[in-house]
Amino acid sequence: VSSRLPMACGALLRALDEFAVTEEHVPYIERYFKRGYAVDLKGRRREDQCVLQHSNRLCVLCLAPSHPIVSSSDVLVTKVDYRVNEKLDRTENKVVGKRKRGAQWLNPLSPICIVSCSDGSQYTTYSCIRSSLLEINDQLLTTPNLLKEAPEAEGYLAIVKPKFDESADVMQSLETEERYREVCEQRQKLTD
Amino acid sequence: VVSSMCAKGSSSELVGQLERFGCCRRCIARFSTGVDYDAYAKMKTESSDLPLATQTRSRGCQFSARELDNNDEDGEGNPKKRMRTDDDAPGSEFQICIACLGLLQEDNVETHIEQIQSAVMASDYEFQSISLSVAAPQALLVMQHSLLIAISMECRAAVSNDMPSVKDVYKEMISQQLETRLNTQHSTQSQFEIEINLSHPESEDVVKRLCHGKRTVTLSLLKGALYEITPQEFRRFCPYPPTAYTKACCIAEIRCLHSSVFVAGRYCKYSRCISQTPWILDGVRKGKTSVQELICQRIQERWRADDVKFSSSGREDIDVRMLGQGRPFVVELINPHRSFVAMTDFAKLQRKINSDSSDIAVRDLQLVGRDSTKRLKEGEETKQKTYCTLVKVERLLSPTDCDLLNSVKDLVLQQKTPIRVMHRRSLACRQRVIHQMSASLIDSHHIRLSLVTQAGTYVKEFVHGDMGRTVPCVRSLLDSPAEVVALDVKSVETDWPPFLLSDT
Repeated sequence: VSSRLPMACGALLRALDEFAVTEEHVPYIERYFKRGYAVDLKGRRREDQCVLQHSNRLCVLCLAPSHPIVSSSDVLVTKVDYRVNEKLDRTENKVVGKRKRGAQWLNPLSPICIVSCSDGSQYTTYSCIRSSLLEINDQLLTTPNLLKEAPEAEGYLAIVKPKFDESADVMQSLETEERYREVCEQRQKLTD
Repeated sequence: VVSSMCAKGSSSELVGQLERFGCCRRCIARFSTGVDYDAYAKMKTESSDLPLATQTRSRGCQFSARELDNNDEDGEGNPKKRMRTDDDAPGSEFQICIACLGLLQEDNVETHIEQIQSAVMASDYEFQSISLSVAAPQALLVMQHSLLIAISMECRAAVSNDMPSVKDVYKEMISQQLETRLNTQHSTQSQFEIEINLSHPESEDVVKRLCHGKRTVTLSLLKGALYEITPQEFRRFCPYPPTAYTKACCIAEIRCLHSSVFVAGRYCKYSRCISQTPWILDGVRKGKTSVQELICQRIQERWRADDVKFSSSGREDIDVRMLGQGRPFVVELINPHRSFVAMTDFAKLQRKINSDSSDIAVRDLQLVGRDSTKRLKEGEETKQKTYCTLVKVERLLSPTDCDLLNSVKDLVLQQKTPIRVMHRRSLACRQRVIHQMSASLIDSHHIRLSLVTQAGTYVKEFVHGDMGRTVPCVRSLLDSPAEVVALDVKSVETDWPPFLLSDT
């Protein structure tokens, strides 16, 4: 057992034994989620987003670390507005029951929210995948800077549900983590 | 319908009339003497009732031009003199009684009893007592109706209101016989039911036509039709008295059913690789086996049940252990063929289950009543739970962090439906309470954390915060990402099922 676990001090080993832990601990996101990336959304450079698909096929939409909102230093997020146009307010999304009826439908380029930053810039975030909207992140209404501080945790954009039959397809339409890293490296080379 | 006045005692005029109509002795007794069930059984006839002499006479008076198709006749309209039953032993020939359609006639009764007895014995059940449920052909009502009209028209005798029905007498005779032959008692409270479905295909047509060709005829539908119909209209469907059929009622189906038996206990789960119930995703099984299968197999075998239903007072994830005194569960045994299980057998069964697998253990195995599901759910929704968890924290920890957690008392949480169950639960925000916590440092990044929580609290989410959807959480209290490395349920406080003094 202990040969599969990383080097740890005696006390931890004893505790792992007491708890009958036989496998190495896998961090939460890595254990339950698969990653997919959408880069240069709507042709805008570096506006990248990440989709985390849970093993139960629900998806959490997030900003990717390369997105200017997250990566630019000295800039804070001042406002997150889920009212994307005159007629559509994502906060009015009402989902009923286990079947999740009444949810707003999203296409890959459906806007999720409009983000305003302290330097006056504004960004639109997108769905990236075909799905129904289950929940927006109301923490962003009170603490918008969470988008920057914890984009893959408290700062997520929304939770969505792809159609059952499409749950594998939606992830296929996105870039893998490897490919995303390559893209970032290439960008880095260009700026160097 | 013909109204009858209460007049007990046999009237020879009535008896004679019924004989001429073509009723068997027991049916004549039903109409004339009133209830005395023992007498029916004793009314065995040396040969079958309805001696041949009566037949010819009764055939004559039953005849009406319209009913030719109901009778067995030769081409020239001469009635056949002898009718045979379906189940006749060769050589015995007698007419089918028009009132009971053969159900109360001795040869038939004997045949039925034998059939039922062998069916029950072949089905191989253990039972303390029996109860009988009989579904009789609907035509019996039509025959009764027809006879009452005939009686009222032919003679001045009155028929008792209390007269026993064919089904009553049949049931009584059968159960008396079965009590002797199966060496048991008949009781309406019995847990073992013998269901007998009788059929008489020949008369189904009359019933259907009376109910205007409705596809499914219920008893109440038929009763309604008979209540409303005038004798003249009735005669279009069936003469009064009715003409005899050629075949007696037979048993279409015998079904035995033992009511469910409930076995309760508590289980502990020591493995982090088995789910509570079988978990199959896309045809692939997740987890080695399940608590349900490990517990139910031996129990189902012992009671020889057709099926089992497993339920428990809450449940834990596949990677969570259930320790302490265990979690209450109930196994419902559907249609058990065995029910004589002694107290010592429970202890033996418990030992066997425990030795089968080191992944689980059961205790307090016992018989419980039908209210068990209610007791189970009560525990699930109201009782506190105690957990012990190994938590990994991102930042460096110090003993003061433990002090912080230890000082928590009745902390109120707002938990949105965790992402990991959002696909099958409705979206809501649930308020839950962490009553108390006890934390000790293992090393600079690990804590052993015990908690006592309100029922229905998601502990894993309380630790990692579920992306901010459980507030507050250990992550927010310690101001650093935190995750559960291992989780154990230490106790689910319940006093049901009763704790037993254990041997093992």
